[in-house]
Amino acid sequence: MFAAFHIADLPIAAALLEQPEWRDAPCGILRETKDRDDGKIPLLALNSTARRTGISAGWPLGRALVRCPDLRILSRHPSTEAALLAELVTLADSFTPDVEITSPDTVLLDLSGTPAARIVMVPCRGVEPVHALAETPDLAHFAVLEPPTRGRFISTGEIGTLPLSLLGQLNGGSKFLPLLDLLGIRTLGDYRNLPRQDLTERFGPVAGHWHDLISGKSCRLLKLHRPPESLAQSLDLDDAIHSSEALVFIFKRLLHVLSSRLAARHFAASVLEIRLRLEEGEMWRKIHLPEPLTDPVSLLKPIQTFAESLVLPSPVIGIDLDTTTAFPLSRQGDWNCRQLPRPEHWADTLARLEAMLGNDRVGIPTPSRSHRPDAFEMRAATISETSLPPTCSIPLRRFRPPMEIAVAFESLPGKHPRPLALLTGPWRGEVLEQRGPFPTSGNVWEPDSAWQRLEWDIRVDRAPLLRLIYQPTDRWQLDGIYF
Amino acid sequence: MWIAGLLAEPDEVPEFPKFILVDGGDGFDPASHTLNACSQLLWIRCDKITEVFKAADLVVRDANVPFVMLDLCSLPVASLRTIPASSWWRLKQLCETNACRLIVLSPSPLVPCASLRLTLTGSLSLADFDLPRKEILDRVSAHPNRLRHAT
Repeated sequence: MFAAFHIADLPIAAALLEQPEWRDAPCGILRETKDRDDGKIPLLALNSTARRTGISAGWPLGRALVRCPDLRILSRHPSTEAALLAELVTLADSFTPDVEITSPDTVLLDLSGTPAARIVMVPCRGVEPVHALAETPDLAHFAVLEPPTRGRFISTGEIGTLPLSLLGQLNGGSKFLPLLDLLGIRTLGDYRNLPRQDLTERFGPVAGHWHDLISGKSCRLLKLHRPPESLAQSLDLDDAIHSSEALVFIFKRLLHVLSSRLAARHFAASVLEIRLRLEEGEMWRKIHLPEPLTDPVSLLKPIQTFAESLVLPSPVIGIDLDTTTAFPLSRQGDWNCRQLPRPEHWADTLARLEAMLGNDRVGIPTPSRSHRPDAFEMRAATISETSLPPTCSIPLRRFRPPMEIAVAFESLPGKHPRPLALLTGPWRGEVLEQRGPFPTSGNVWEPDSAWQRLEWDIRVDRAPLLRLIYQPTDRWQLDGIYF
Repeated sequence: MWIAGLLAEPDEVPEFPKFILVDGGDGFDPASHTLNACSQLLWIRCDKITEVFKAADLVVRDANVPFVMLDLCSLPVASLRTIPASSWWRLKQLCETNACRLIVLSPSPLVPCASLRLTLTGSLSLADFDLPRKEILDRVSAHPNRLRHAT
């Protein structure tokens, strides 16, 4: 047996949830159409008050306003509609896990595997859903769309009383329904009484399929809706943890559970999300694994590195572990692309290096688009940006931080200073040649981070080519050597 | 220049880094290279010689990127002289075990167990800033040095 849950006039119900003051007034929602003639835009949905005035969905707006001058047009609220559908699915899930989202306002339930239970509908955010039961999913769907057949089990015989227009809900239904109407076929019963063979010959195999469907001979499989599964684990500790060894021991236990859950679902972990609840505050860390893993030993390694490098401000009182799943890789050597030979070690090595050297000390350097000196970013993943040319043809070896030196210089009023000789630092002597100055500045609109400087490339006797910097307020620095 | 020569200016961004640069004095300048060139490099920024050796040990053991460069040019010569020869031998053995190539850039001959020692020479002048990088790289010459170590 199958059941169908439906929220009648979902768009108008969602819109009235947002504007409850118009609940008792005749209200309607227009169908989205490219036709700019407002008078001809058809109505998509109406509330019961509007329907009592004699208008119905599908009527052009102009004609509906003639019949019902007080009709109020509401705007659609897709987010509220989605929330109502989610609540309908949750309600259906409480009866059976085998649920299909057939349309934005209807879900079908396969009740064959569940014990017979009386269906009691619970309002979804104040909107009362309706239901119908039938032998096949499509018959249940038809039954729930028409008020006379709602709230009970409908036999295949009773379905015949429903209007033929319901077939329009099926794929390809709108093609020859007008033709059937011209032939005087008004109900599903009329259609069922026609010879199947003749229908197929006249209208094609779809017509024959419909005949089977209305006769209850065709029972399709539901396209099951599976909500995303959570593999999150949470552990509240009776005794607060201070040491990394104890932390690793607990993670090992959690990872064994995670690993078996992943294996049961034929999934693997691609990202581990760790949240440590401390006595004061919390710590959060996301560990990206180089390839999807299920083995608890391999999963433990990056966590072990993380735990060893951890400096806890206060004891740990709880642990949350979540994971992002991916399909496990069935790896086969590829001649055409380069692969890491031992990817399971790669993340561990990077994590160890980061733990030893600190954040932003390990990664792929990316030159910044800013002209700010020594501006770059460190990234972990590949990107696809256009390649910028380097600032000059000879690569610079930087001093970080720049080396402060004393410089003899010539200063003329209204002009940039001109270096004459380096007085201190590892390379002293007269400036024999120079290129510059190259004035640069940035962030002038932010007083705290504004910068300004002059650069020269200089040659000093018995020294490599140097980059000399002058910053206002008479600071001279060596930025690096060309090497 | 040696690093610039290795990185070149590729047309495509590689999926994984091809080289690892353990930068002893944190002197590598990403702005001196193209984005694609930088994408070939995993840059490990160190400040001390001990950090350099620990980082080199980790990446050579990892062996996922079997081309490691140790840039020691920016470190003080005094600190370079404190490296015991046994550390270099241990690193060399590790490289052989993990099929890894290790290139050490130093201001003077430093590695007692080097399989090949090259001296890079190439004089630069201010006029070279106007030349394309390829021409400057062509001028850098590498001369093999005589190796003198116990086997």
